[in-house]
Amino acid sequence: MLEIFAYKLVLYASSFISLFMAIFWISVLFLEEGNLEEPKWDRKYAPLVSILIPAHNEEDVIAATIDSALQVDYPKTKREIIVLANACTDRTEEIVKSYKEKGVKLISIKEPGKGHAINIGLEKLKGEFTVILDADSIATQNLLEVLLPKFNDIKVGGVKTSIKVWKPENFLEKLQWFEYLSVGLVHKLMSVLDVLHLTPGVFSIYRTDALKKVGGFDENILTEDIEIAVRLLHNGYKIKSSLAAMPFTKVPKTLKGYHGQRLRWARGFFTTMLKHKDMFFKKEFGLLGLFIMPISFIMPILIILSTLIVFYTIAGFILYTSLNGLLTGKIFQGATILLVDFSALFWTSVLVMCGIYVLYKSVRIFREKASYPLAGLMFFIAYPFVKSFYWFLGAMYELLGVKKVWRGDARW
Amino acid sequence: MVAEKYKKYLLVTTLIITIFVFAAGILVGSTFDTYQTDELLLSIRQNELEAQSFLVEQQFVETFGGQCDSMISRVENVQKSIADTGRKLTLLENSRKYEGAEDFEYLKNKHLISKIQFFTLLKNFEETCGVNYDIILFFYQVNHSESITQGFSLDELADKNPDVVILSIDKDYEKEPLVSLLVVRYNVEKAPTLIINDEKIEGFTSTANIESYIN
Repeated sequence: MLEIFAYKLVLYASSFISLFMAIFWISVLFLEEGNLEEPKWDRKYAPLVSILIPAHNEEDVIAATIDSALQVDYPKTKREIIVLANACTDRTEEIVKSYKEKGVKLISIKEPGKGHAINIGLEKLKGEFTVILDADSIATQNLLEVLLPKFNDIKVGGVKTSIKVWKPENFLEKLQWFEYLSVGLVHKLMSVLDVLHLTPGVFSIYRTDALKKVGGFDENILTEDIEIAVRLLHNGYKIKSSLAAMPFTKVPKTLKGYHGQRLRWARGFFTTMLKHKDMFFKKEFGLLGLFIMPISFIMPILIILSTLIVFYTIAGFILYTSLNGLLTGKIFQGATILLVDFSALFWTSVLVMCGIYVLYKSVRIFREKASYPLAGLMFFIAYPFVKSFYWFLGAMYELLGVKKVWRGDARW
Repeated sequence: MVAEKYKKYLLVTTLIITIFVFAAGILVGSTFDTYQTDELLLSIRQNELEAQSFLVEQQFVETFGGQCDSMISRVENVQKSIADTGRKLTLLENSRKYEGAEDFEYLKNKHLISKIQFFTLLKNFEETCGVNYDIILFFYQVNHSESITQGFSLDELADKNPDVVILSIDKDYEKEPLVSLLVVRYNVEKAPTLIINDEKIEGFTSTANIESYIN
C-alpha cells in the first residue's frame, strides 16, 4: 500500500511539475516570440572591449580561436585580445606568440585553474567590457555588435550568446546539437524574465566594473561561469541572452569526455546553488529566487525518482516475462493494454507535444535545418533522464567530498 | 517588454492551465479505469446469472429427473466465463492500479463467491449425475511471480483441455471467510498450491506435470 502511495505521489508530482514547467515556457514563448528581436548597435558607441581567451594545452585549436576573435567586426583600436596560457605544456604559447604582430597579448600563468587565470586577466585588462572566449570555441563576426547594445540597461552585468555545436559528426555530437538548440531557446526565454543564471564560458561578455565589484571569478569552483552569473544576480545585476550572435563550440566526441564534462557541470551547479542558497524563496530576487532556483533543485530529484520507477517497472516486466517465458514458453503473455496507466499516458503525450513544439521553434529561431532525426528522437527520450542523472551524481560527488579534477584534465 | 506586463500573472495563468491539463489526465485515466471495471462488473453479473441458472437446472434435474447431458455444456460455459473474468481481474490486480480501491475489492469478492458457488454446484452435479470432472483449485498470492506464471501455465492447460475446471483463489484474501474455509480444508500453506482432484501439489507445476495428474 505504501509502495503504491509513494509511486503515485512521485508520478503525480513529477507529472504536475513537468507539465507546469512545459506550459510555463511555452506561455513565455507564445507571449514573447514577437519580441525576441535584438536591439541594434549604435556604431558611434564603441567602448574598449577586452577579449580573454583562457587556454590549457590547446595547440590544436588555439589558432582558429584567435583568428575568429581577430575577425570580430569591431574597431581594432577599441579591442584587445589576451590569451591566458594556463599551465600549458604543449605548443599553445608558441602559437600565441606568432600572433604578437596582430596585437594578441600572451599572459603565462603557471598555477592551473580557469577562474584563477581569468582573475589574473581581469587585473591586467583595460576594457570597459570583458569577453571570455573558450579556447575551443569559434567567435562569429557580429558578436560584439549584437551583444553590446544589451548593456544599454545599466543593470545588465553579463550577456551570454546562444551557442551552436561545431560540425557535429558522430551520434553523441548530434545529440548535443539538439541540446544546445533547445537549451539556447529556453535560456533566451529565461533572459526575457530576468531569471537566466549562467554565462557559459564558450562566449560571454561582462561589464568589467561589475565583475570587479563582485570580486571576480571563484577560483575554487568547477563551473566558474555558472557561479559568476549567479553572483552577479545576487548583487542585483541582470544576465541577458542574445539569439543574434551564435558562436560555435566543439563538444565532447566520446562518452568519456561527455561524462567528464557533464559531471563537472553538475558538481559546479550543485555547489553554486548551495553557495547562493540564501537566494531561495526570497522575494527580492523575484521569479528567480521564488521559483526558478528552487524548482531547478526539486525537478531533477523528481525526474530521478520517476526514472527509477520507469526502470523498476521495465525491469519487473522483463523479469516477469523472462521467467514466464522460461516456465511456459510464452514470453509476452499477459502484457496487455490493461496494464497502462492512462493518466500518465495522457500527461506524457502532452509533454511530448510541448517538447516537439519547443524543438521545432528552436530549429526555426536558430535558422537551422531539422537534421539528424534519430539523434533528435534519442535526445527527446533520454535528455531529461541523463541531465537528472548527472545532477544526482554531481550532488553525490560534492556531498561525499570527492576530489575535484580541474577542467583541463577532465575535458575530452 | 510584454513579459513585464504579464510576469505577475504568468505563474497564476500557468498554474490554472496546468491544473486543467492535469485534471484532464485524471479524467482520461478514470474514464478508462471505469470502463475496465464496468466491463468486469458486467462479466461478473453474467457469471452470477449463469451460476444461478445452473443451480436452478440442477434442482430441476434433482426434482423431476432429466438429462444430465444437457448440463455438461452449461458447465463448460460457466467455467469458461468464470475463467475469462478471473483472467481480467488478475491482470488488473497485478497492474496494481486498483490496489486498495473499494469498488475493485467488491468485484474481487463477488467473483470469488461466484467461483466458490460454482465449485460447490459442480461437486453436487458430480454426485447427482454421476459424472467426474477434473477440478483444479489454484491457490495463489497477489503480485507473486511464481503464482502469476502458474496462472499462465493453467491457461495453457485450459486451452488444451477445455473439460478441466480451474478455479483460482487468492489464498490470503481475508475479506471473504469462505476462502479461509477452503484454505483450512486443504491445508494450504504456500503459493502456488494446486488441488487437483483433491490431491495437493505445492510450488510451481508445469503444464505437462499437471496433465499427468488429470484423468
